[in-house]
Amino acid sequence: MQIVPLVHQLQRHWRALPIRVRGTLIIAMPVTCLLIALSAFAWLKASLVEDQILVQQTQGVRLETKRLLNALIDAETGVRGYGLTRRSEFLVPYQNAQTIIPETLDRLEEMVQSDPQQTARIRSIRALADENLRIFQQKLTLKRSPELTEPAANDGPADIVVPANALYDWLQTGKETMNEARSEIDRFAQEEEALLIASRKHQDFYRQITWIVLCISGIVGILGAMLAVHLFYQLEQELASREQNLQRANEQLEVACAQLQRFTANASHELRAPLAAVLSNAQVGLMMLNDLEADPPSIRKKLQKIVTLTKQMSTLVSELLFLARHEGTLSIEALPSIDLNPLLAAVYTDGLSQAKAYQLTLTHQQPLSPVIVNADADLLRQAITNLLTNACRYTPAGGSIELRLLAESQQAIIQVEDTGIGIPTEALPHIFERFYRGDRKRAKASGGLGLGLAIAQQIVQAHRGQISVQSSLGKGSTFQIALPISVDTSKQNVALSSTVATAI
Amino acid sequence: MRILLVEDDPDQLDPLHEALTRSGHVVDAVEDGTTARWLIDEKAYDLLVFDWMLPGEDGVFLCQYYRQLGKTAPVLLLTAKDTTADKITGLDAGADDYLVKPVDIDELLARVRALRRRSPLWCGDSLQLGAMSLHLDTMHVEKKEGNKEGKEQETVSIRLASRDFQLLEYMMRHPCQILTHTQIEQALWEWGDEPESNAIATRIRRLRHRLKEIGADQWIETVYGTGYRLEPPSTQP
Repeated sequence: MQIVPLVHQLQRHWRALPIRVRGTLIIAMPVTCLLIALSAFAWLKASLVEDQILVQQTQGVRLETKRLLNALIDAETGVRGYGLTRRSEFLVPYQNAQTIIPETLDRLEEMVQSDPQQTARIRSIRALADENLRIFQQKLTLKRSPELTEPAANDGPADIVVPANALYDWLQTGKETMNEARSEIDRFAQEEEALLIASRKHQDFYRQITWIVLCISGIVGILGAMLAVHLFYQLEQELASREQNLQRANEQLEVACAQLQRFTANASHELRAPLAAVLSNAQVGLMMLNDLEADPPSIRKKLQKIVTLTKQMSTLVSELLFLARHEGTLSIEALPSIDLNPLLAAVYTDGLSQAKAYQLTLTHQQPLSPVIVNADADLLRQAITNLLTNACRYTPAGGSIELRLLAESQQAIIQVEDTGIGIPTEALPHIFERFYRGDRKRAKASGGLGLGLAIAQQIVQAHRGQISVQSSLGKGSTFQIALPISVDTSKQNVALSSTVATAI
Repeated sequence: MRILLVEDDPDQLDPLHEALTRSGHVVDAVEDGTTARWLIDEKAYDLLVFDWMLPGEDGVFLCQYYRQLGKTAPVLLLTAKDTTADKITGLDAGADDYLVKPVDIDELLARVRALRRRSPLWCGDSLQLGAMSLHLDTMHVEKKEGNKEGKEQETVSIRLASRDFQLLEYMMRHPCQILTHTQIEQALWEWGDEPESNAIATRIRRLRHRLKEIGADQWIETVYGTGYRLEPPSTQP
């Protein structure tokens, strides 16, 4: 019952993880299982090899033990045969045993040196074997030294009364020692066998565990892989749905963009058509008045008023459309690098006639070296012209306006300074707002629409620049545009100046 | 000048038509692109003024179509479309000038004069015939009056009404030729405007009446049954 909420909680946590982490986990699952399975397999293989070595060793021990036993028995049989026949060829196995027994014992000791118990046993076997060999030797010397016993041994027990008892005794001891040695060797062999069995059991146990681990890791691996595939599908679905969402958002944006474009196009048409009709009708009216003999001045004035107002309205429509179209920033990188000097010179030349109409003096000041910025020349010219027009409107006749371009290390500064009426402090924060005008009466007389500065600000901000104003009432205002210097060309300029420097 | 003016909004078409006519031009004013296309095929114009958005064929298409016919008269696009891209499209389609609505009538007339100067048929801002000259921009006609001794030369000048100006301009462009009723009708009557039976005679009479003020009423000769001829008196027998 508690599993379901737990699963849900896990799923929630899982979803919250970033895609990279989730991907890593998905890959980690089967990889971990694979590593576990591989190490289990390696362990199994290693234990099998170890097992085989152990079996081989035990078999070797068995073989050596058998050889030892055989050597002992052969020696005994040989000695006995020699005792009976006194033929020296029966002594060959005994002589062989003398070399074989220490050799096998050495080999056995070497083989079981890891096991102290078995080593001890080998030592006692060695002692017993030595004892046996000593007894055989004794037997032989006993049989050889008194020549007189030879006939007795040959002819019958009667001749050897005294040595017979002694012979029995040590035959007895020989047999006992032999049996002891035999049983000791058997025990050794049994122990070895038991050890083998024990180690086999041990190995089997480990092997089982390893198999279980292998199976479990296999199952977990398969499950992990399935889970991974499932999660991967989920991830893919999520990504697909994300892409779909993005696409939808993109489409919506495109639709909105197209709508805006259509709107501005329609607005442009719908707003301008009636204005065009009003303007041309009024102007044709004026033309008709020209043809009349008697010219009623009041009608002419009214028609002229209509013409002026329609033209103003038309400017307003153009400016509003401009604002609507150029909302948002331009991509600076896509803009061409332009030199501000000729641009400013052109604005200055265009502004001269306007300044003259307002009876103002217009001067300009700009550096000799090029000032390169990334900008749309038409837009920037519009912004500067707006500042200039503004200065003309708010400067009383006889005043002066200066247009300045300054190049700083990081930015280009364009200033328009006038000796006009100035802007009251409380109005300063609002002058860049649309349709804001510092002084209603004066503005009306000046013929502005309250959009010029808003447009200038929008253009400058679209170029990632700043527009600012300093003003003191009655003395004049200074509007300043700061634009970032083009990065590529500032490097170029540095390169240029350095080459100039080296040339000098 | 004969002008084709295409504008779908009658509120804008009428004043433009009026203004151009008052400036002494013969204007065929139509409200849709299809008719305009037909007129382009049928008639020869000295200037064409198109709105962009029109029912039937749009202004840019008309521009292209007109250029495809190999005709060279200037084309002026007069439209509410004001973006740089629109201007480029319009000018690339074959327009010689591009004006954004609302346009100042004075500016439009100045542009029309400027475009006329670029026309291959242009031969100065005034037409000369003998002692008489006709100023196309101001619609003034003047005649130098030398007295018999040739001592003093006096110039008398009058401003003509547009209809009289149109007739005189046409006759001065084809001096010493007999101009038939049909020729005059085709040159001076707007498309769709049928002259009444004695309309041409009436206009000739009016023009003669105006020319009397500068003593030139005898220059227009009536060739009975055929038409009229404008000739300076010295060449008359």
